[in-house]
Amino acid sequence: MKKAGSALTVFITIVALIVGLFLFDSFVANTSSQNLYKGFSDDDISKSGIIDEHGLFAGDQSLLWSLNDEIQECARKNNMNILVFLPDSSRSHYTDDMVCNFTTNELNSVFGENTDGILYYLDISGKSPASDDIATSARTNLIFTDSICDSIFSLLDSYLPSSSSSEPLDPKKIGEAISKFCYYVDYYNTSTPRESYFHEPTADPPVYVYMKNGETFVTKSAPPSKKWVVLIISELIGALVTLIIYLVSKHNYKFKSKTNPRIYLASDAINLTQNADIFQGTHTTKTRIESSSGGSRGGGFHGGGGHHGGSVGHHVHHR
Amino acid sequence: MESVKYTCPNCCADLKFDPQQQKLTCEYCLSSFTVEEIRKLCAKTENSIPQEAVQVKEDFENHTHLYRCDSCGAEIMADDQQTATFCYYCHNPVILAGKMGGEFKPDKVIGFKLTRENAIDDFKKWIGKRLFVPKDFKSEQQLEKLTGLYVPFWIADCHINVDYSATGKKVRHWTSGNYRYTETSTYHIVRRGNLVTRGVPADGETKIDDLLMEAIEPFDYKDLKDFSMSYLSGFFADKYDVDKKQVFPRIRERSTQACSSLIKESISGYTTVTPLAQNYNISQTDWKYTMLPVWFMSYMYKGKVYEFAINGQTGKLAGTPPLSKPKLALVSGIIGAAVALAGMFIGGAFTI
Repeated sequence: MKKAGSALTVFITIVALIVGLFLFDSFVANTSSQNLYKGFSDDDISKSGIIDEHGLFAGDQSLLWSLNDEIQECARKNNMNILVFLPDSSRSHYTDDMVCNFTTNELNSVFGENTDGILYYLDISGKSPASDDIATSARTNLIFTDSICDSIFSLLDSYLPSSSSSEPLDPKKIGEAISKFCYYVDYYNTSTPRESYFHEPTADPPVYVYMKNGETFVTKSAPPSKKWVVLIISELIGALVTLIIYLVSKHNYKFKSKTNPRIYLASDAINLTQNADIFQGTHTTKTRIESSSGGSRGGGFHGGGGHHGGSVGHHVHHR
Repeated sequence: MESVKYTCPNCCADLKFDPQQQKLTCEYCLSSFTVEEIRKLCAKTENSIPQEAVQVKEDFENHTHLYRCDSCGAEIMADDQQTATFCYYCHNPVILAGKMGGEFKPDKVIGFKLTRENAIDDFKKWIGKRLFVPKDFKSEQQLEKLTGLYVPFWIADCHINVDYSATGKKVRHWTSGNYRYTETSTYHIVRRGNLVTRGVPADGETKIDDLLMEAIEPFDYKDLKDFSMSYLSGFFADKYDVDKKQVFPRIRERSTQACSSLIKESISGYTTVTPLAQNYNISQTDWKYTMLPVWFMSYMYKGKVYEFAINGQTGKLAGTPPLSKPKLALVSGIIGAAVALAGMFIGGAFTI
């Protein structure tokens, strides 16, 4: 009866602990820092378009206007700022990190931090290999993931000249690539399932981008889904530590130290009249060794940028 | 039944055995006497042990005996086992000589070397390392329960004939070309001879846990002295209620373990050893009935009795400390919670 009562007390304590932890986790997971998200404003539509630093379309302004219209239409339809940057030869010495820093600053300076936007840095500076970059900001980070940007790059490669090619740049071909870029932005924005969250650790401060109840958040605090995982894993580790300490300490409270009776053996009275190890024989067996072979795998490249503001992510591609 | 006491030849106060001086001392006139001196001075008392144990049948039936304290005249009640105790009223030591007659007269004794203060210090050190014992277990009240007791022990010297044989295998592996070779060499191992285990002790008291007594071994038999009742003065003492015949299986087991350990030690270099015969026959056993000094304490916690013993000669301590499970659960929980919180901080769960 007493044992049953004790077991019930332990059971109630455990249930109360689990309920308490659930309430605590729920509170912590749903408490987030200030939402820094600025979203998209129709007033900024006019800022979307091409920045032709290279002067590629200098001889064909009508093509440039037409492409700008196309980009702005795409921006309006998808509720995101879109910028295509065509660098000149002064940026041909840019490393991947420099390109990332530049596109981040450009995106933030044109549209502001934490606004929904995408910048396509189409490297026609003459650098070899060319470093194309897609910089994404705020909500677009959840759509244009590494794999999607990689597929966009590979789809556009057929429209773009190779960096080793000595042929002059064809504005029409580049224009086609920009049109296709708009198409893919529209396509992936409407059809792709979104990532649960995006983390930009190099931002100052580092931020998370995530959706909650249909609303976009850009916060310093982690999204609830990540918090839940962290909380549950931490609690499981804590529970394991508790259990180990409890069991080890309990073990230390058990009776130990039985004296070894070997100490009572009189060393002056050991008289082994027969102490022999008689060799009886040897036998040898042999087994064939089965051979096996393995393969090897290559590694990939991951580039990184310096500290920057906002929630800009990067996807660099070499042509 | 008669009780005896040792009185100071100078002032007639009671003498008590002092473990530090290894002498009987008088608390009043501060005189001290060696056991040999007291043997001579109190020859009458020493020889008061009757040659034949005279036990009244009725006493055995109810296992209770009444004694008269020579100091204050009070009647003292003691059970079958007790041979030395204290008067409840005047707290003077009382030795129940009638209990140590005949077969109950010990051959040898090791006097207490550890004083009560030493024993308390040792106990405090031991318990100091254990954080999860109940609070009152460390209290002064609990320490007062520490009792000096002469425990009746049977000490046996066993002459053992050993006949051991086994098959030993040495296995060697190597690789040559596409083949792996395994060479197995077989040996017939033989160990025969005579061994002696000296002074294997076994307590002769049912009240005391055998394992607890084995845990505080060994006693240093260099201090073994011929028995004198004067050693018991100032301590509790019991007589045996488990005779030689009953303790012999324990003695045999421990002697066999000692021999087996030696034989195993002499066999080395084999990958496997499969015993074929292991015969350890005790051909002769020499017994000594001895009183050995033990400081005792027991503690009742949640319906369970926890016993502790300290070797009254060497200070070796053994026992099962009571565990306060709520205290341990709380501390473990706090540490676990701290680890969990650290994990949450590192994982960014609290970033605002």
